[in-house]
Amino acid sequence: MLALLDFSYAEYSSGIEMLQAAKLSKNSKLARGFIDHSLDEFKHTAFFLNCLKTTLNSQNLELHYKFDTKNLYYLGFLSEKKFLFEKFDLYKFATFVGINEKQALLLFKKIRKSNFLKEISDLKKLDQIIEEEKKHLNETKSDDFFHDYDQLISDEVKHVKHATEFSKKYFNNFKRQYWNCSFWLANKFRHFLARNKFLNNLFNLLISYLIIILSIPFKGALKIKNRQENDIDFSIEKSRLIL
Amino acid sequence: MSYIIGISSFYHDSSVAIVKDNILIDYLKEESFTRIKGSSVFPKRSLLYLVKKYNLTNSKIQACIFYEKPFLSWSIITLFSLKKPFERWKISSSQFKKLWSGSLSFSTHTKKILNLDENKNLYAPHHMSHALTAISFDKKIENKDRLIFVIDAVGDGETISIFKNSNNKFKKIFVEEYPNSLGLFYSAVTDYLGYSVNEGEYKVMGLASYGTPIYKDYILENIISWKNEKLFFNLKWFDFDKNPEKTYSKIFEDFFGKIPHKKHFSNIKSSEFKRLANIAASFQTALEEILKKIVSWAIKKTGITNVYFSGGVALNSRAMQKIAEMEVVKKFTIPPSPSDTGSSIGAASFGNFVLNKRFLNQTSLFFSNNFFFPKTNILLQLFDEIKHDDFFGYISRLISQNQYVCTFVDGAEIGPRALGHRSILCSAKEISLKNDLNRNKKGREHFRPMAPIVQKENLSRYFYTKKKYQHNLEWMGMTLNCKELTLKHYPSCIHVDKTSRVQVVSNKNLFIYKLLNKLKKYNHELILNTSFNFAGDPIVFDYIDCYTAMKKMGLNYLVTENKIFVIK
Repeated sequence: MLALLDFSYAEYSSGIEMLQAAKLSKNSKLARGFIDHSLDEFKHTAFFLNCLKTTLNSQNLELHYKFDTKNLYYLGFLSEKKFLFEKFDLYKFATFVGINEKQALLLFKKIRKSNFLKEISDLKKLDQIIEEEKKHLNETKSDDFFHDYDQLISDEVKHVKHATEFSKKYFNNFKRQYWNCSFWLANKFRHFLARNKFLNNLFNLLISYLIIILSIPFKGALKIKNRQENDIDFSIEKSRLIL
Repeated sequence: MSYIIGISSFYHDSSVAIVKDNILIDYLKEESFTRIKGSSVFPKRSLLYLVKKYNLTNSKIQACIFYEKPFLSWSIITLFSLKKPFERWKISSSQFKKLWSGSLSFSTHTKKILNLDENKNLYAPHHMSHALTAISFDKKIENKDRLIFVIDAVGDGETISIFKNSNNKFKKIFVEEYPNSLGLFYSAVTDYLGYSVNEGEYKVMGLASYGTPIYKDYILENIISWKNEKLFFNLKWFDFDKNPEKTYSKIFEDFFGKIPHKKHFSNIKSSEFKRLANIAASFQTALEEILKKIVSWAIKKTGITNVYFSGGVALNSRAMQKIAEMEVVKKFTIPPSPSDTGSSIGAASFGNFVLNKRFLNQTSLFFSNNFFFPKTNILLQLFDEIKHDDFFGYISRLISQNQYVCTFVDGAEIGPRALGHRSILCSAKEISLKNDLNRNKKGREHFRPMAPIVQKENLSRYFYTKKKYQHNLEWMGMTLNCKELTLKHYPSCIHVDKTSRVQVVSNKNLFIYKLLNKLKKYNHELILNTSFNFAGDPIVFDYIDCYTAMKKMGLNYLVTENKIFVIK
């Protein structure tokens, strides 16, 4: 069930990334493609959430499997700093999407064969998702994809000639394999850190005891006096204080 | 030319407010950019957007004001956790992490994004930010005495603050400190009922109307109450002081029963639904009773009857109705955005007074017209324009034919409630439309109410109302009791307890006022209004959001730029 929740988060975050790509893209045709992709991902999220809902019969489980989009940041699905389209150029973005779609496809196929999903009885919908994932994978994997991208963004390419040359220069097969591997590893590592409760708890425990030990000599000094009735001070000096 | 910027961030619902010449000129929520509802990240994108829009540089910015005192806020919770270190170690470690990623990093962000001089960073007391937000929407500039209540979960270690304000002077006459919190009390039942804290509280309020407050007396006796001019608060019932991910304790769970599953909310006639509604009703009425006692006490102490309410608890429109209707309250005001999202406005007002000796007022309800974002000519790629002879005539005909119409007109609403500019509108006569919107279109709980819009001149025909609080209805600040006529003709906008969170329009230039004028032809004086978003998503911010939201919900008609479009 954790996997279903993770799929929901993964699909949703992918939808958000595609939506941002659509908004940031300067080419309206390209934006339209990203929007459609984004809608597919949101549809998949709804599908997995629906699967999750039907499987949560035990009352106490609901709490642990609550889908909350604010978790996307600390579970490592989205970065607070930058969206992928801001972080990568178009080609790296496409490569990243490719590796992720491939991973998603493999997982969906795996689920398709499992007994667990058979119980949920919505296999027809999953087939649809697999088809759509294939479509996205093909879009990003094939050489045509880059060619199509070049056509779609031809206007931009003219203006950012240097960027295109840079991309062509750096995105040979070897480079693509390199990016594939590095993205794959980074993804795994990020999610491992975010999801590993043992490591997290150990880290938290160590930190908290460190604070407790360090704070003992300062406990008296750190005491904040009880606040009472007072006039509000609007002086510039007072408003510069963080305390 | 200098600007003052107010910022709210790091806890929930980050936002930015920008002031020039003592007027709020723009306001943005970070969730509009990130598309994550209630986004708490530093509002970098909102700021960058404003930098571009107003060509902001360090020299043009007079000050940037954060809506709380970061170290005070951090240290109070940290010190509290250290009092029982072994029991509260999870809070301690979570606090430690906030040292580099929380509000203490404010100046690092302003330096990075605005290249702002360190001495231009100012810090407003958290509850003062809320209090100043509350008075920012006063329509008349007058030196009147005000009694301002700020009640939320916690801010700068305070949970309740009561201010006496006259002639630009503010005196804090009462303060309640963490962990004794009415906000966290209500969040605990929200969490227990399976909803997200800081987001699901209004669902609890909606659910409460279906129940009977059978636990109210027990709650007031054992968990929370107003006793001897102080908030009595039994911490044993809560876990928020020990665990950042769970707000209620084992004792709470043992007393109120098993944690509910979502399926229990689906059948309104089931005993389990009734049990959960009774719990919600008990917490709701206990909250209302305590608030009324606090208000009575403060009025008696100060003699001031001009009451303002701010802080997250002020979003509880049902509780606000109860306070507004108190005999001792002679005038009652809640701002359109009383929670942390709106407190960036209060922070900006604080900075404006510190530097220019003036508080903000006469603040508009609508900001940031984002028709130009994104720059691509995407609208016509996503929608087909409908040709017509009569703009309002066409829309009113659609509504009379039981169609849904999405609006993206003029500026976005400042508060959490859609006021016709970022709305989905439909006929208020058909209950089936409301049910369809809740269940099939928006994916919301079936028991959630929907609100009507009515012209000011028709208000008293449909609702029981008093002048002393009527101005809050322009931004749906509180609920009203309905008259029989409303029940008869517009049943879909009435909640099960026969109340309604009405929006009143008096400005004849507003789109919605003109539409209601035209709808009279079809015998519609009220119209049903809900926010333009899919459940769990932020309200739409640009055309791409409009399109994706409409696709998700299966809606067809969009009104924008004085034109009507149909989705492709």
